[in-house]
Amino acid sequence: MKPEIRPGMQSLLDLLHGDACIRDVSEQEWMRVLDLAEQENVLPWTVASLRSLFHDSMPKLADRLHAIHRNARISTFLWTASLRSTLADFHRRGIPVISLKGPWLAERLYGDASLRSCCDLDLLVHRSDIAVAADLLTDLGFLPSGRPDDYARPFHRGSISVELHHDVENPLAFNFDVEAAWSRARYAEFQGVPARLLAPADELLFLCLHGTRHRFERMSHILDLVFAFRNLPLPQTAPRSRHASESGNILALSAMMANRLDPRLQIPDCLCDRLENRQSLHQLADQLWQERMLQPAAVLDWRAKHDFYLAIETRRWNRLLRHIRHARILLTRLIDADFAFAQRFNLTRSWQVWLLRPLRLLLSAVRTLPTSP
Amino acid sequence: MTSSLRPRNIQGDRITIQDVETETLIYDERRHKAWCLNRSSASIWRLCDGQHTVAQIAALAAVDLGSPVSEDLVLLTLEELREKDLLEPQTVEFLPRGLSRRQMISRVGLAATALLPVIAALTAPPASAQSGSTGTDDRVSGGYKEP
Repeated sequence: MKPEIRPGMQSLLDLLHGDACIRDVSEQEWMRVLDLAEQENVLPWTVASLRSLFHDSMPKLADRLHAIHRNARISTFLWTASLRSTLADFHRRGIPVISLKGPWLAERLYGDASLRSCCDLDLLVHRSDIAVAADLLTDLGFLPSGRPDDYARPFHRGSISVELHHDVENPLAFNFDVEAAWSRARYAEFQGVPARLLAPADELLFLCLHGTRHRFERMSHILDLVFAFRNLPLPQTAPRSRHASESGNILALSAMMANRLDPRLQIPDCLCDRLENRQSLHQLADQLWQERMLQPAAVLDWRAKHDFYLAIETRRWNRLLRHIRHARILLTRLIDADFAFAQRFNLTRSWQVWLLRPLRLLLSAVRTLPTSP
Repeated sequence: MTSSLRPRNIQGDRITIQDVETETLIYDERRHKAWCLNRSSASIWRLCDGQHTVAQIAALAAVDLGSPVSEDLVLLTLEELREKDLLEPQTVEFLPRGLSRRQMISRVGLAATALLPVIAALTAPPASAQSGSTGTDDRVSGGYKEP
């Protein structure tokens, strides 16, 4: 039996492809499309596309579209003003900062910041500036929230969340070469405030990496890539280097995912060094696309992320290196499972979690031992 | 006494204003606060230029809103704006001494109910509400944490 596509998905895809005709679809179906678009984090873009087709025979839909559009504009105002104000304060303190994603990216890629959902502000600073940047955020009323990881620290002020990064991805998972990216970063102005942006090719790689890290779990990751591949140039990397192969596969897979959402988008030939690599990535893209069509994304733990990075690697040497990275993470880092295990004993401090870790690993190893027949 | 005041709204390059349909959004960078004003309170707020008296504001707001606006309604709105720090600091309260907000609202009358000031604090919707709450937030379920 052929598995069923998620309710509303075909109409959502037609809409995103620009092939939808509003009269051919019932009001109830459009309501399902909006529910799905919300799950997939592409609600503002979906609403804007629907509004452009709209006619007044569907009053409930009209009311809902109007309410979502209004809320998106209000939300965008808040995020935009918060970003502008925060960038201005970084500028006044003389701390170089690069804005990643957020309303600025939406403005440049989508043409209007209210067309892309925003749930936090991502700011990249030099590793050496992380302490002064954290102090500045504290002075601005932000409080540290959650646990920091290897490349970012979360802060919040009321409902506004900021992630302060010194790298765009965990260096244990992918070496983005952030210092080289800093040297290529361009000066720009966000609503009159000077700040920096990643160079266009670095921004494309960053968005591909972001989608990959999330295993393209939502349509929003793929829609970002459609716009990115339309508007940003491919990065130039030394051919045949390990980094070129690693980033090349991420770029290729991202382009393939974008192509599945927008079949008019061409996948550049230069992204894969060998035909068999290209084929295996196409199979992976098909599998991921099929998953998106059939079910909502599952929660990703660190192992799922690691396994996905591994699946993207096509070179044997790169796969071996990734296994080594995996082992390094396993030995040197606390993971969510460690915190969850310690939580059972009402222990939350890092040193307590570290102490309980061997016990968790032991229990985990015992559980995975093969049982005798 | 209060009717001779000439209130002034907060201004400057650290104040961002945007109209969304009939509402006005204001972001105050100095206090990191954002507000959404309904049409009547926005109209009165804009007229607070330090030149107009309360009586003049009432007359001009009536023209702007196409509906009678009493001085009591203006005073009620000014008090709301003052409490939200949307006016330059004033030394006095706008409500007549000994009169509560509830009493003031009843003085304004039922006819002006639609014009009563609504000034709501803006907050960003939580990530889960925007994104459909599949619970895949990076921070919660993500990779590995620094010890």
